Amino acid sequence: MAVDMNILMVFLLTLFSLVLCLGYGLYNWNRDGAIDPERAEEEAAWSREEKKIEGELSGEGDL
Amino acid sequence: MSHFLLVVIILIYLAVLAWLGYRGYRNTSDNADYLLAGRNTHPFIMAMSYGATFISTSALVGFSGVASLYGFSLMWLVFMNIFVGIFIAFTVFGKRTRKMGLVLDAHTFPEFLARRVGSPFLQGFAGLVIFLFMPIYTAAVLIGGARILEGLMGVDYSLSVIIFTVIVGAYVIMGGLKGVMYTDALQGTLIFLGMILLLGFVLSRVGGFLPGVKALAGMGHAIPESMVKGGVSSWTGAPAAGSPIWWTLYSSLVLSVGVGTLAQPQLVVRFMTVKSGREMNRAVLIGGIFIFFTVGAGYLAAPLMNVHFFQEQGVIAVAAAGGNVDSVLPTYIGTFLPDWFGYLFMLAILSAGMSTLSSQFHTIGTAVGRDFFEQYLMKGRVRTGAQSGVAVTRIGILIALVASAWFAFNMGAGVIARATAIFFGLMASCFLAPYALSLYWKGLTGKGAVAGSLTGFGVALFCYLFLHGKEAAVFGVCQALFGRPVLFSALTHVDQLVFSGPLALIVTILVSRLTKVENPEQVERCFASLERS
Repeated sequence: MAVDMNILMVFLLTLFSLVLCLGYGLYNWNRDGAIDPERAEEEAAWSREEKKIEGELSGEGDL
Repeated sequence: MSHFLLVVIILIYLAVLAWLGYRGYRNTSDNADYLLAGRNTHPFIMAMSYGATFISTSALVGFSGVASLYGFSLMWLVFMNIFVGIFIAFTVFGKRTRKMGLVLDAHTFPEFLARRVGSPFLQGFAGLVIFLFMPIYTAAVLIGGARILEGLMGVDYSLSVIIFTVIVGAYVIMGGLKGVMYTDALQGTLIFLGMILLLGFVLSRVGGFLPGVKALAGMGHAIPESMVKGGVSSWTGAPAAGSPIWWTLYSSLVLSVGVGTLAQPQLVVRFMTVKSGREMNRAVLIGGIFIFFTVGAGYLAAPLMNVHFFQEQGVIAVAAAGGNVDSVLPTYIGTFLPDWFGYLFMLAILSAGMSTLSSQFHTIGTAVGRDFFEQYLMKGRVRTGAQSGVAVTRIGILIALVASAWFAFNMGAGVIARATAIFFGLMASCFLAPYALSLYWKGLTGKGAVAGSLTGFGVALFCYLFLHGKEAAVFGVCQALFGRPVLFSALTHVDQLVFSGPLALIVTILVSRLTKVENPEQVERCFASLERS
């Protein structure tokens, strides 16, 4: 045999790991999609603040 | 090689990179758009972006070269990269890190640890360790890029280091991270295609996989004498158990790099920037495929390059590369592959280096600017101008650039894999025990985490100075104090993580048992966040 057991085992384990990742990823592809409430609120606050600043800046430009 | 062809390819590449960067920048310039774009991001873009950041020239150039000398046994690192570096990292560590990081409002890995256990000292200590030692790893990535420029373009190595440092410096300082997702996606695609094409080419030249393996198995006579003495008798088998190369392979390369991934500051930060658990789930699939076809292809192709070199030139790969394992891959491509492939591959490798280096330099900068200076020294008081954390961060990046280039000039040949293993192992010895316990054990205390980190660091340093032959010889402290290179010759090839990892874990648990949790309310909030979806 050209390859010994140690190498054969690591080839198989590598393939097993790949299959594990594929299986896990596919099974959970759309799970846990909800954005955390804290994060959502933080992003929303930033967005409001950004729009406010943009509005103020464009107002200054008009002057 | 045709320089006209090279210039045309580089110009097209830069134009596409600029266009994608501009597109990415436009799409992420507004926070609301950012959220929306994130939800609509194509899985392919996400896959390639993740891969380009994860894989560097160290893995592709340095470790492939080592694989040509050690044979298929380096495939253990591919297994560890996929199983530990992707699957365990995302499912066991990543999801909890993301949720707790949000509660803690942590921006960096040291900040996460410090806020989780209520110890500002830990943030300063971790920031300083990262700032001082990460340049060894960035140097390894720089060397990988410079060896490619040297091997494929014929540019002098020293000049290659300077060119690559200047390119990366400009990329980082000019804000190369803006719109990074699209540009990373292009770079990831190049790496992915380049490695698959390389493997296909090597297999086609050795008559296919099984004939190639058979031919490699019959090349025992060509294995260098030093490798035979070290324990390698076949490139298609494992080194002799307990031999010097057996210890180096399994304790330094496979254990330190494989497990050390879990405590990499630039990777942990990525967990905290992910918007939801769904991205984590997808990253497991995407990352697994990417590692399998890039690192896996490299470590599978590299030993077979010995067969091809031997058939064509009568020498093995490392001999054809002038005895430098870091030059094996560039030499092979420069010798056997067509010009256009060499140029595209060079762009792929340089892309891999640039995307990794940019995140490394940002990590170093924030480690010294935010973690050590702003949060620890200044106790969170925000200053402006020259005393601000941002200014220190920029200075830190510049110092790291210079230090990395200095290391790249002075570390010698064939050091990429070793330098990478040193940094990965050091991070694991200092921070893996407190980090892992912080995610799963409410009883972890600040004093326990600090004691564990200091123990890991102290034991690692002791091993480098007095036990592990390669580093002890460089420092010369053991020789000066005791008149011999190492204290115990039987342990000279055993990596420090074998000692420091378990000791750090034991000390962290023991001291935590003997002390009180400093911030019980914060800890409760962290664990309560895990119960939410």
